[in-house]
Amino acid sequence: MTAVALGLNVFSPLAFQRRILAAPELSKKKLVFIFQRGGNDGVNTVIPRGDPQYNTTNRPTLYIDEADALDLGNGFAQLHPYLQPMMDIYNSSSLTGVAGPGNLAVLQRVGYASQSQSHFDSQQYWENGVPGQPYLEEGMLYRQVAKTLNPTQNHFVAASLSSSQLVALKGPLPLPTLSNPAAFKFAGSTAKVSKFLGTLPSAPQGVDGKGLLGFYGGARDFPAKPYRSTVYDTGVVLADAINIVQEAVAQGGYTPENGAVYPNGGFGDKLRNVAMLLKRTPVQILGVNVGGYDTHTNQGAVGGYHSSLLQELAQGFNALYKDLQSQWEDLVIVTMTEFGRTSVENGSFGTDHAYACVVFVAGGPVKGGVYNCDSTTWAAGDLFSQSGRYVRRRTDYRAVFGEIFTKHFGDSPALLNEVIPGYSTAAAANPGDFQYLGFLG
Amino acid sequence: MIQAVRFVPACRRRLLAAAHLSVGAVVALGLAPHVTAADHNFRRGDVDGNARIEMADAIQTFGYLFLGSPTSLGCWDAADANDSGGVDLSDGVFTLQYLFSGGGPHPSPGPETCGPDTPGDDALTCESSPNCPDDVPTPPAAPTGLTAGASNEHVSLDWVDNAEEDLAGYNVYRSTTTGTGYTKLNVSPLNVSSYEDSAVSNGTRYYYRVAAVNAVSEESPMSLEVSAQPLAPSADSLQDIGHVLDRLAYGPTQAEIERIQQIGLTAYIDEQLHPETIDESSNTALKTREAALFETIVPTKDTKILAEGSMLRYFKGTVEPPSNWRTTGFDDASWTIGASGIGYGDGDDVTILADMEQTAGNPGYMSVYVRMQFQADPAAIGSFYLRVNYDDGFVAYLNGTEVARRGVTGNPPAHTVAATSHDAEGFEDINLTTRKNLLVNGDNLLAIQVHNTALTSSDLSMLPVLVSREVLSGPSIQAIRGITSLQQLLYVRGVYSERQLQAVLAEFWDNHFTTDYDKLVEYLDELENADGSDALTMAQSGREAATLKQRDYQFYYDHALGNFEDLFAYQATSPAMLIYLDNVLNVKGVANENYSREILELFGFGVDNRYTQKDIEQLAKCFTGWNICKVALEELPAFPDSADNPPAVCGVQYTDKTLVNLGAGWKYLKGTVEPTPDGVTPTTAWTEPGFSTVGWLSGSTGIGYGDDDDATILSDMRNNYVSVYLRRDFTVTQEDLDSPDTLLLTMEYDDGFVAYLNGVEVARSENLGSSGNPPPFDRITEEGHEVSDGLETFPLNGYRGLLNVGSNVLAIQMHNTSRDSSDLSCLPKVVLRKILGGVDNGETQAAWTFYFNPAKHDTTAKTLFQGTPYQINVPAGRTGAAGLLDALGPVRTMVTHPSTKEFICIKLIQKFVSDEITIQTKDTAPLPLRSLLADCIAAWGPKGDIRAVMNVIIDAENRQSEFWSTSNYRNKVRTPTEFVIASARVLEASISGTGLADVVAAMQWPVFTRDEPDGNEENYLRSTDALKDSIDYVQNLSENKEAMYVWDPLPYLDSRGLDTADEIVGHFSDLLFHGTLSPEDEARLLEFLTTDANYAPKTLLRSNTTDFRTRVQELLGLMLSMPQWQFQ
Repeated sequence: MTAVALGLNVFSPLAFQRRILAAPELSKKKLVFIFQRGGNDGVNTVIPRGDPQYNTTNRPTLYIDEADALDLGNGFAQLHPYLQPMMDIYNSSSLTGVAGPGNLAVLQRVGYASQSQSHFDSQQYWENGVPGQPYLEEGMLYRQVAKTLNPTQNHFVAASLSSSQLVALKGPLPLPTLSNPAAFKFAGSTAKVSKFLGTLPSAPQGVDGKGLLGFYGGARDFPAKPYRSTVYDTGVVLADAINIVQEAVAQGGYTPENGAVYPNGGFGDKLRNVAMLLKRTPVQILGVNVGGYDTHTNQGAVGGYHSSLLQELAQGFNALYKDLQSQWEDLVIVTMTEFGRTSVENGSFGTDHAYACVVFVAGGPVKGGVYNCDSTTWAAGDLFSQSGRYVRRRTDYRAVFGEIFTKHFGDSPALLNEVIPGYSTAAAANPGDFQYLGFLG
Repeated sequence: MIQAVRFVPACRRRLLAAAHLSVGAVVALGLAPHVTAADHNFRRGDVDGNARIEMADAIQTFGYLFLGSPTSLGCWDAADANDSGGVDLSDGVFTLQYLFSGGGPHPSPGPETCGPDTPGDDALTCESSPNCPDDVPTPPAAPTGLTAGASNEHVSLDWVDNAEEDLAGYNVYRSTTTGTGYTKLNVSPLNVSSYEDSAVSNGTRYYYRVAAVNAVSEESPMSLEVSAQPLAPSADSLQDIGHVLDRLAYGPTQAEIERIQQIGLTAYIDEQLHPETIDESSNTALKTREAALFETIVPTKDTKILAEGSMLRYFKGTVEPPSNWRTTGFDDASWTIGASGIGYGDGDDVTILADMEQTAGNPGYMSVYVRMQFQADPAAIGSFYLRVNYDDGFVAYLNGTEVARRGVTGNPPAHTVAATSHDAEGFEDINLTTRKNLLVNGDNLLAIQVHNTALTSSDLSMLPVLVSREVLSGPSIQAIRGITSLQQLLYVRGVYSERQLQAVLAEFWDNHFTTDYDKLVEYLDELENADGSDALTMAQSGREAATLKQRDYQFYYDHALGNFEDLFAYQATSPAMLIYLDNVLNVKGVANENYSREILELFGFGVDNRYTQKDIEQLAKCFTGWNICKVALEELPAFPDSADNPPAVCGVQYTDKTLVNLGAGWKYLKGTVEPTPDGVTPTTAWTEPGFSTVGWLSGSTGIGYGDDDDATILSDMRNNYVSVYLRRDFTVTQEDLDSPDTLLLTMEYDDGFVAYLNGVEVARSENLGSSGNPPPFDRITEEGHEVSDGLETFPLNGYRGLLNVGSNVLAIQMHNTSRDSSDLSCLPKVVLRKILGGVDNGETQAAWTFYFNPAKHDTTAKTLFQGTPYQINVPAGRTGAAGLLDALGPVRTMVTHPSTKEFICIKLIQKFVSDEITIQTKDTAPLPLRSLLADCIAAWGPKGDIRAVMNVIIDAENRQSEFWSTSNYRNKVRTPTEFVIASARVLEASISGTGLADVVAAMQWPVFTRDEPDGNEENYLRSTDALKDSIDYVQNLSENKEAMYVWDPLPYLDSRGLDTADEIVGHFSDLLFHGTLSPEDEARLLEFLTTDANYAPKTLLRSNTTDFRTRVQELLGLMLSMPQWQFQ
């Protein structure tokens, strides 16, 4: 055991007790979500080759020739060539090499009614699950965690691999965030850290705690004023999360399995830590950001800027797929992005904010294939099916997550309506948009 | 001691108890002058001081020893007859032996003469020895360290103790006029170094001086004068004072609390709303730290005597060159012609040494020898520099004499010598002014041998420039040292400035109109000069980007309490903003909507607040043609001129004479085989004049296929062949040859090419950098390149010697990036560019300013906010400079749009009062906040009067207003910047250097470097990761672990007379939390301070300095980590 773990021994009895309590009943299912910040160009990601409007007139520098793109087998849709590493998942359900149907679902035309073209609002909606409420700082996944995974007992059941909390996991009960597990600890000698941390009071908000935990777990100043519970609970969660993460780190260097290779850079490092934490801690839901998708200028042809973003994403998927085979059957990996981009290239060799976008879902339970991008659902010119400028949605993003929450985590319809407030009302208003795509069978 | 104002229970010495001691920098530790152990005169043995040695002296000593006789031995030294350092039996015996048995003599000063003991001899003292006078007294020195602290009808004086032994005390003098009219206040001399003056009236300024007096009533010179003005006590509560300092300022300091207790909150707020009335000229802590962040730039003009792209001749170091290779007389006609710079790898070279790196089948070579002729007139050269970007080592010779060397040894180094590693990451200036004598009038030679680290090294570069630098007569300027210095400026002002509200608002506005330094650097770094050279080095791009950001931040600082209209028009025309949100790319026909969206969504109206997507599109058209350009420093217009009257002409102006244009006249050959007679061996024969093009096809440029930009379509190229060879004859006249204008190749291309002039390679795309010389016909490029990546300019001036009067040949081999690539394009021109004047992008004695380009402006009619009472109709046909009004007019009009008033007032209310009102909740928020919003909007006025709005928000006259409501006390969370500054301020830590922004950036709060345009979130709740980072910071701060902030608890506590655990906890509890901590919380802190690592009791002792310091430091680490300290 490392010095740090020793220094945090004050928590061990609590943590032990907690895990005994947390073990039964709760779902063992896991979810990793990746938010592509900036608005990914879905047309350049999953190419609707069958639409004659996909051409060099509309996309002079962005057009990708048919021979360069990856065939998805439905005679209509193609993947961007730099997504080649995704094809391992698309083509094969496991490392045994059994061909197809695969574990990668490629969902085109995901969005929501009254799409916002503001980054900030639309990211907020995707994360909080309630379009039209940009200031709701409570996440859809947070509610799933709070209502089903008992985060007050297990402080590390869900986390963001990020310095700041992803809105999807934000809520009144703070869930941990960490940018780097190895550095997630306090400085100083064991004795000093131990005294500094102190002990929690014997009862919640009691007065007999000591040190930092005595304050964060103790009585609150002006308890009726804003932010109190979040600020105080964050300190308690921090101390506990440090304990759990340092126990995982203390198990030694992490070697990915099955020859998995994570992409170089911050995104790849985070995914590597995702896998490590999924294997060594009780975490079930993890979120990761990846930025740079706001490609207003010089988006690039094959080999250009957007290509490198997609390549990094695909390499990350591929690595998780190989590395997490041991829990693949319990795992779903899903991408999010706030909107797609204009079907016509702009004057700066880029694309501007638009409507519907592409979502990737991978994992053992996933029924692979192309959804919403085939000749039976996509009419010629659908590239401009929205406002004459954009791709129009066929599926609401809440139905994608509704399918994950009900089929992967086993939520009842009533619970789903709590996790995604207004779900049933929205579904009644736009039943077509809320038809489950069936990627989870 | 009189306590005029207290805010704490009297039972403990807390924050204010030490107040009068802390006014001023120098504070005496002991209060009474005490007699030192030295120097009174005495006669040794003369115990009773009657100037005689006799039996009685011995008896008095024995009496003291045996009988406990109360007789005072006033002079212990006299009683220590044998000078043993103590008074004991042997002293009496010594004197008896002296008197009766020939003993002695007594040690110095002896029984006969008066004198002092040997200094430091022993610890005994001599308070008095009658009949043995000390030396003739001299007047004492003037007292020092005089401070005066005023309170209600009272002034407290304090000064440093004088050291004189015969000091009788002090006299205190007072006047109501500076320097004159003093009267003495005391009757007899004071025996302490402090004075409490209660015979004063509030509102009058009193001047004080003190003098010291000795035993014979001689008076010292006067101390320096100090003054104080007693004032009526303020009725403000500590909580109100703390609230104001947490909101208007970056948190409390003891000095500010005490000042407000004297002048009152109303006066303090009035001061803060009128920062110009706060004199900071003597705030040296601020001024010296600010000054350290700027550097003085003396205006100079650099003239390149030898420029990038100049012609050179080179010799590959496969063998040793002739020993005279570096002399002027050497004939280099057999050496290869190239242009500067030379090297390979990493894409920064013009002349590429494709075979230098050792690979399978290629032995490579370690060095390359370069000769460059240049013209010079030594008399016309000022300072003389070799400006060189190099990888890895070199020796440079001027007319045969070595003048500079980096990274290689040997004299001269042999061709096989390896250099130590150095990367070409920017130019280094090597001052050669003392070697100007080597230059001759006319032809000169710069010769350089360049060495690699290893044969297998992946790169080498040599780009030498010779510069003459002339110092100009204009005034020097102060420039920010870089982005880290600019970031630190914000923290320096936060910690040290007394204009706290101005500093808070400057940060607020800069964050509201956020721009990202990194994007500016990237943009500037990619700029080219008109002659095709790289305009700015990465380092210079960084300097210019930091200066652009500094200009913005300083404008927001200077106008923090001014008119919103000025801020709004300023940011729209700020070069930093124009770059950041792509308005520089916004041109007629292909509008870029990035900025027009954000000016509505983020800067003016607020998200979805009464505007539509159509408004964004229309407004984007209004902004077309907005751009930036450089002007000479002295011509940089100031705002508002910079917005209203941008320069009609700026940047560099030039005209091109086209020698090779797009269009007909080309011969081309599909790259199915080598274009050589044998069709196999790659040579450059096909590029030479006179080569037969029989069998080649004819066509026009652009040549290629795909993406619709070609005149000659190679419809069979895809999947068949990857290269195409092109040749075109063109005519050059004698006039062209003699022209002083710059010869350039301009290329739009896809994917890669090598270009040749009359058989010599003159230009190559980076993606063919190591593809052979020439690249074989079947070679593909290392990376893709698109026409849309923009036109690239390649300087050919270095190759002018290749041109002939009459017919010449431009030859180009184009290569694709893959066999199945979807496109290929070649659009070349050769031009002679005449620079007409102006300021080019790379000019360093110049500044960026807003520029409106009518030629790129969309002059159609536009309509904004259609169908609303605020509809703006922008008429069609505003051509020329008038087109500027299409956007500038609406920008100014938007200031009085209800959405702008509402959005900005809400943001200010959120910043200073409460987060519980937003654009979304403006109609449902608590009524008092809605009323406050209405009052703010009413105060907005025609231009958005920020001071008037702030006056409403922080209404000092009306303590019933919302700002003062208990519900808004401590209801906000400190942002990371506020937290970092407040923690340093409250400890009075000394900050220096740079780096506080890095601490804050780790908490996801980038300062000046946020890449998203929405600014940092004001109600920022720490994630666990950010909470950990903030705890790391306050622990490092209180434990004094980092050089950039320094704090030692000992001087802090000692100067306030705080040394018990109770006092220390009480002091900081009041200072940090305004007395709101619960008794249990205080008890927990006390327990922390008075226990060991296992919480077992351990008394805190000031005398145990190391332990005391450590425990206080850890206490402060804990106190600043408490959840309560996150609130304000």
